[in-house]
Amino acid sequence: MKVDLSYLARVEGEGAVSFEIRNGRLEDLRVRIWEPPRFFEGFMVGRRFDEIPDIVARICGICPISHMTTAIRAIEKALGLEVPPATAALQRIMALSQMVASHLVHLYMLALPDYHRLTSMAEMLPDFTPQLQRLLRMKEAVNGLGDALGGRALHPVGMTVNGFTRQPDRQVLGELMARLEEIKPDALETVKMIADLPVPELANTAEYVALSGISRYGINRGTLISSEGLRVQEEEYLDHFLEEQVPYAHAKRTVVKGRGAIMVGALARLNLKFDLLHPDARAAAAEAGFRPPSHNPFHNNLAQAIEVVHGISECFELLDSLPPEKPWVEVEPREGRGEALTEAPRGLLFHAYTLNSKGIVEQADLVTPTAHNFLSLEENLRRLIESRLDLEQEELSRQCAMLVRAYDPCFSCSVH
Amino acid sequence: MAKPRFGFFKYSCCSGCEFEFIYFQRRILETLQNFDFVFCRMVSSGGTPDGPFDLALVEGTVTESWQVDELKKIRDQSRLLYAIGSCAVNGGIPAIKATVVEQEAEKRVYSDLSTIHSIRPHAIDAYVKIDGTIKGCPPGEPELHRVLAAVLLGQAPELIEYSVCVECKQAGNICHGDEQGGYRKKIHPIRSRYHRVPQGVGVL
Repeated sequence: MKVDLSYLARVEGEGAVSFEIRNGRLEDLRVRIWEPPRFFEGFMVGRRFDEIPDIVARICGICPISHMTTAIRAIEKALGLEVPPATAALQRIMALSQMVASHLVHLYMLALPDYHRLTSMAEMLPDFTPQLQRLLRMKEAVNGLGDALGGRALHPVGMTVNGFTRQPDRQVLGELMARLEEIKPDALETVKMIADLPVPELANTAEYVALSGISRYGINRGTLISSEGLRVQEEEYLDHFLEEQVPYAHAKRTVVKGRGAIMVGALARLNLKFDLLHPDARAAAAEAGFRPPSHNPFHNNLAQAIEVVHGISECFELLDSLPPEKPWVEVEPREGRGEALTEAPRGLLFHAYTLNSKGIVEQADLVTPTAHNFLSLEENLRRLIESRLDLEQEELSRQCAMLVRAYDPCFSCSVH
Repeated sequence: MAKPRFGFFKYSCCSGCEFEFIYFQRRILETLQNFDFVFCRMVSSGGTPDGPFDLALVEGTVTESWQVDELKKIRDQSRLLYAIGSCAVNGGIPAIKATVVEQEAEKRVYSDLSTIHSIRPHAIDAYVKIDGTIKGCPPGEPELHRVLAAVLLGQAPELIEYSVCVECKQAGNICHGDEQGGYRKKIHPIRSRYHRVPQGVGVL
């Protein structure tokens, strides 16, 4: 039996899964990420540092804020900038709002139809109108954060190396908080809805990797930790991880040196730093019966829903305590190198830049969440298929597509 | 009346226009209800790219030759074909590659170029005739809604002639391109060979 899911739908970007079952054995399993390369690391050489955030935003239409923030933090380090607390707080609100938005679009529009054996959200109408309206309420409130603080939610214009170009006024902050308060029950409903979906059994063995935080859930900075005891600062990232070119994919595949596959993203984060989640999110998790660690990769969906609760509750508090000073510093170009790690919605994201004395990029290096997840996705697909060799081709294909979607891969990011 | 048959196609880009279309814009419910989603990978599995389409939206820069072949097929199958977003309209960010020595840029990313088959990046109207553009990165909602509403009404859309920057400035936003607020006070605009854009290749 030959299976070729040649253009996976309801994932971000262009990828395929192909394999063959010969004499009861699985052969030639490949996640073929055929998304065409755009060569960001190649053409950013020669561009000036202040152009980089707006350029890297266009790596991904669903997590532009992660690429911008990671680039901005790496360049801040290369230029030796001291960032005011107001800037860091706004960067965190932007990142959390994007994490919620990204999880919502994934949970409701990309993943949910599978669990009802439907092909699309359009097909879920009119039966699922209340769920879709819940999604629309939540996305309106959450995108409002990106609109107000960054100018717009998709490819924000107000985030620069200097900081934020505009200081949000107090009245706007109050309105944003009121809207977040309104959708808190919707977030809890989302957790319930996802927790009620039956998921296939599967046990991941890949190493979980995430950014820790000291007193709070690490998002834009932190020490890299793993379930195998890794403790790495962002400057040491390249000493511990290896990115390899794969003959059948335009995305590269990243492993821990000397060990192997890793898993990043919402499930890895919950498994490694559940205690740092907002109490509202921990309560929602307990209610839904989620107890970390969970080794079923399909639970990444539930982990995302729990992070939706976290993001909304924490954004509310951050807006309430936003430092009053200007989120802005003056910048002068200088020679240097900076590395930064952040938690994008889909997991660990790495950016590094080397600048010359005029602030021109001499070298750029990017490693995306989907490159980090690539090998563990292949290994878990293998495990899924090998434990279900007796399934009909259609059902086996459906479960494979569901597993890929549970990872919420971003092929556009992974190729960049 | 039958719903218009709709297709959304993606070439080399961030998929942001498709996200704008299925998620960020405010008329998702109406969009999902009023069009027949024949091919839109982000919304629906099991679709077909073979058409025919009443409206095809194409996002992304053309950077591989299979995209040219497919684009020509889509043109033949579509009553209306619009370029959506800066990449499809004028090359966008991926076309920055056309401003540098392309093979050098490729070599910086991949040590083995034998599996890489990129062609020089171009906007889609370099290869097919288009019926209109929905400009911006991503496009503003008003323009997107004008096109969708016009197709539903069977009319020609009145396209917005100014850039999405106008709407953004009306909203009071300050961006990297501005001279306001003391921005760029200490950094002088530089003129390097990398900033010269060759004729026919638009960047932003």
